Amino acid sequence: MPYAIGIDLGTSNSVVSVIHDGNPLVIADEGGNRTHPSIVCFGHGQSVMVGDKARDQMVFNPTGTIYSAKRLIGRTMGSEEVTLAKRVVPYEIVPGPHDDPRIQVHDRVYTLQEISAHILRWMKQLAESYLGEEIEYAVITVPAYFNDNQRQATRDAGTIAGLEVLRIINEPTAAALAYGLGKAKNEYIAVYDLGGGTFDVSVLHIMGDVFEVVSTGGDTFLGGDDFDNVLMEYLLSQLDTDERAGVSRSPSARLKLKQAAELAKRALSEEEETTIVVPGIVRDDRGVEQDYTSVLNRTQYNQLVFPLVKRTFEVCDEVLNAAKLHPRDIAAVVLVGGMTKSLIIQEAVENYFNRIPEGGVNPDEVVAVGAAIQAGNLMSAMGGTASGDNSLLIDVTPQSLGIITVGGYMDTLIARNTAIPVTEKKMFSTSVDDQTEVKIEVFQGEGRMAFDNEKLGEFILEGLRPAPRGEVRIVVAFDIDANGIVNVTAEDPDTGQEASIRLEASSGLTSDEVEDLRFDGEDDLEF
Amino acid sequence: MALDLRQRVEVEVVAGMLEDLDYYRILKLKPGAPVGDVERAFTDQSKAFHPDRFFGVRDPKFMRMVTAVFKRVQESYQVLRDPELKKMYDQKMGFRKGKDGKMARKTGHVGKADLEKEKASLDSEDLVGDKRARKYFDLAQIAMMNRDWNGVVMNLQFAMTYEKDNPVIEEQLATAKAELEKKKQQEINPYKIKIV
Repeated sequence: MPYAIGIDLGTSNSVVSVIHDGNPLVIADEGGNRTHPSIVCFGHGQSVMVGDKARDQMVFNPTGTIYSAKRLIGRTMGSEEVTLAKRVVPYEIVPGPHDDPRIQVHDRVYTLQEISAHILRWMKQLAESYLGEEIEYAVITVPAYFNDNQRQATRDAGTIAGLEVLRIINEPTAAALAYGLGKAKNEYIAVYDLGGGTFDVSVLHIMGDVFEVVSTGGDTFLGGDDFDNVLMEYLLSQLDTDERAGVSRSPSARLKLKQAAELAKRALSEEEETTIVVPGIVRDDRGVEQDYTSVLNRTQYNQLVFPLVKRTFEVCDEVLNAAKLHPRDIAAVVLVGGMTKSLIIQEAVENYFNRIPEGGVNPDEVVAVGAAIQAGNLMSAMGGTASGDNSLLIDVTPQSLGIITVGGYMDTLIARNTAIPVTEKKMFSTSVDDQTEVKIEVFQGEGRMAFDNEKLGEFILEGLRPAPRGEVRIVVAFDIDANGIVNVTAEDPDTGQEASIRLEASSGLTSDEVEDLRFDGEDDLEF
Repeated sequence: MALDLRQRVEVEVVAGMLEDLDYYRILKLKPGAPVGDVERAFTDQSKAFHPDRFFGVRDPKFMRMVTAVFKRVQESYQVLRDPELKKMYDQKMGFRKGKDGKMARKTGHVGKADLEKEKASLDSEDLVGDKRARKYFDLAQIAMMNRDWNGVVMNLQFAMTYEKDNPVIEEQLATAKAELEKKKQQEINPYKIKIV
């Protein structure tokens, strides 16, 4: 049976794992590193660097080194998140033809899918190098709270990288699988996943080797990067107006500020106080570059990041309410993501759940291991060798799915926390005589008004036969598959024939575009 | 992938009989079996009928059948694992005696959605007599689930205008007001996050 790898495509770091001789293995690079920076560096000409090498280049090439692409993938140009990112990141974000954000480096424009594809390809190559054979199949994880556009875009990145993506699975679910497999547990657990860019919390019911997600929630724009940004804002506020303007204009200065903020954040988990030094970021009276120095203590830091921490527990409240559970019903808490190593988070989580989070779980690797286990499950089912020993994941859709109705209201068809795969059907008919098209606008979210939610796209039913209004009826099936991805199909209820339906106004790539972007052969990839 | 003939036949048979199988039979339990047996039955049947068990099968019609069966397995679990819903289901399906000591005649399949609706209305029917008051009382219960204390207070006060002197409404109103007061005190740091 060919190998199938599990990839945790993280905001800051990516990890690749595979089941080898029945055991999950995390694959290290030549330097022995088991986690790899999710950073892509475009040099001059065609050269591309990924991972540690790209990170080392970063300070010399701030406009050509792309980090935290996951914060942008699957979003629209006008969204709050993209607007915020444009203010902070040193690389240039430009609008694409689908109103999607793209990255411009020198005279080339890249889609976010391509950027992530470079990282995925690097993971693929690491695995191939270690296992000594070509890898085709992969399971890739995404935050549980990722919407349809973000999931599709991630899957497309996999295709571009030359992978057959068996499944997109949710990070907390993967973590739960890695935590609980083989332990014959029967309990409710909570997975608190605070990564570089996103926050998820999921409540699962583990029944032996069946892992059922009960409820899930999150914030796809709340992560370690936001903790850094808060510190960066604080440091900037200490500069005078001119100095601040100077820093804002300079990509390399912005980058140095971010790196200093990251270091300070880590230091304050170990020490009560830290000295922050940002080299060469301001100029003195004689125009000579000077270092900017500041002292920050733990109390000040905790007060700065307090609103972010508080937000995570507001989400925890919602998720527990939806599960009709109380923190005391949770038998185990699993921490995932680099940010959960921070002292303020660990203390707050312990306080909220009134228990010490599970030790023995590596918060950096647990998601990739879970993905590898699921990859193994799916491969053995495909190969006809699935047995009672295989674990089963029953996941849910994190956001409600619906359409816009008269008055702009959201008509929910599939509620959040419904188990997937799931299909709901709805009958549509024409409202004017001889109408040949019906437009259905699909949204995801919990807002009462459709425009408070995320628009997935417009589905156009076309080629309807001209007839008096109301006479032509079409049954539209809204399907959320096991990837959490939405498929819309239509059928004429009288003939049983499939009706033609096309998707418009979506920020995603078309399948032709994905094909065109596919990496063919070995491009100039420096290792 | 070559589908095991036995598996294929089992799925097709069950899919064909879905409407006639009650929730116990879907889970391969004896009708009226105790709550304690339900979880184990669910894990066994979900492993047998989850679409992932058939991952890679390129037969959309067959996969639709699998999905339909699995959906019913889940529904059965959601009803039978909940002691109250299970009790109602057992009574309606004639698997146990009703409050009047009699066995009901089997009325055909009773669905989860109907059971949940009935449960929600039964709960409040016992507690609040006036229909108009009950409407606001039910809204207050939903608000309580969402910890929307303002909403709870507002709806309970409306309910009280239609049914005064109801001890349940009064008690819930007092609780809600206390929560609002607590919230006002705690508003700054309700999760007691250590900042100093």
